[in-house]
Amino acid sequence: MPRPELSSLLGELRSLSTAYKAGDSDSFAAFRDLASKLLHLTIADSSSYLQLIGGPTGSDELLLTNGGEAPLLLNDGRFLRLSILLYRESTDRGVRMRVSESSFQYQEDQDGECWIFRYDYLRRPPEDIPGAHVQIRGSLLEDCLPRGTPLERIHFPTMRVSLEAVIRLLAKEFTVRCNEDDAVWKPALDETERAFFDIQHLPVGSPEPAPRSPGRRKLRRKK
Amino acid sequence: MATPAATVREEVLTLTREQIIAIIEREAQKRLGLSARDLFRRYARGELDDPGRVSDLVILSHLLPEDDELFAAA
Repeated sequence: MPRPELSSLLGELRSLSTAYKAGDSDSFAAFRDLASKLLHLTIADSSSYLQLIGGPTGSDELLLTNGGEAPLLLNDGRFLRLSILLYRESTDRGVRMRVSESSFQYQEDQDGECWIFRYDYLRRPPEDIPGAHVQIRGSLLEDCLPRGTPLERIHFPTMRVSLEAVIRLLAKEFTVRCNEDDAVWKPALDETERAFFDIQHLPVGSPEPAPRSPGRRKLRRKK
Repeated sequence: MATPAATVREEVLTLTREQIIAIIEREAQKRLGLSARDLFRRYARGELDDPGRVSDLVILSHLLPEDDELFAAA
């Protein structure tokens, strides 16, 4: 992509980042469009798309996930199961959109029986599991785990991991083919990841007490 | 997670409580051989061998009211 077009792309991504951070009713769609753009610049098959899903409680909390009947098909024929829970929160600077939970699972098959790795960030994980963690379905060379415990049951604690970081991992380490050159997608991911760090919720070591999302009480419709 | 097919890519696909529970029921049964209610009961008690297998379903469930009866046994 020639440099002027790259500038235009980065400008478009900045606009989408600004739009989702604004926290108004268009924020969710802007976040979806941004995530979709990043995936289609990089590792996603052209048939894959993202869908915003709402529930019966109102429109201030939406789930961004793979659209259709299967996880996102990637260019290597494998799949990415993606779930990002978004909500709007009242802050001192007005309403802002936040990511409250996310899960990214790279998998060999559509059903996820043969998953490869997963990054989860859950506000209320089961006891003794760090809220933000990575799991790898593999085996260790050393016999260092309790007898009968496979590596895939180990939850390695992490900080929040962005969609951009997962895309980079798949593109560079797992060599999933990207739809654009490195010179395009790398600066694109760098650009949008900076904006993500502004809205992320940082995990703590133990599960967060209720309510699950701090903004829910303020913005949710009353039943 | 298989969501109900949409003929167009809607801006927001709004699911009813019944549709959300139907997705969770189907996927919990397929992946773990559990009902949705058992899934959340066991999840809350830390009784699932690999709770990450259903992270997407747990996140989906947050679109339901916190006092939904699906979570009553949890």
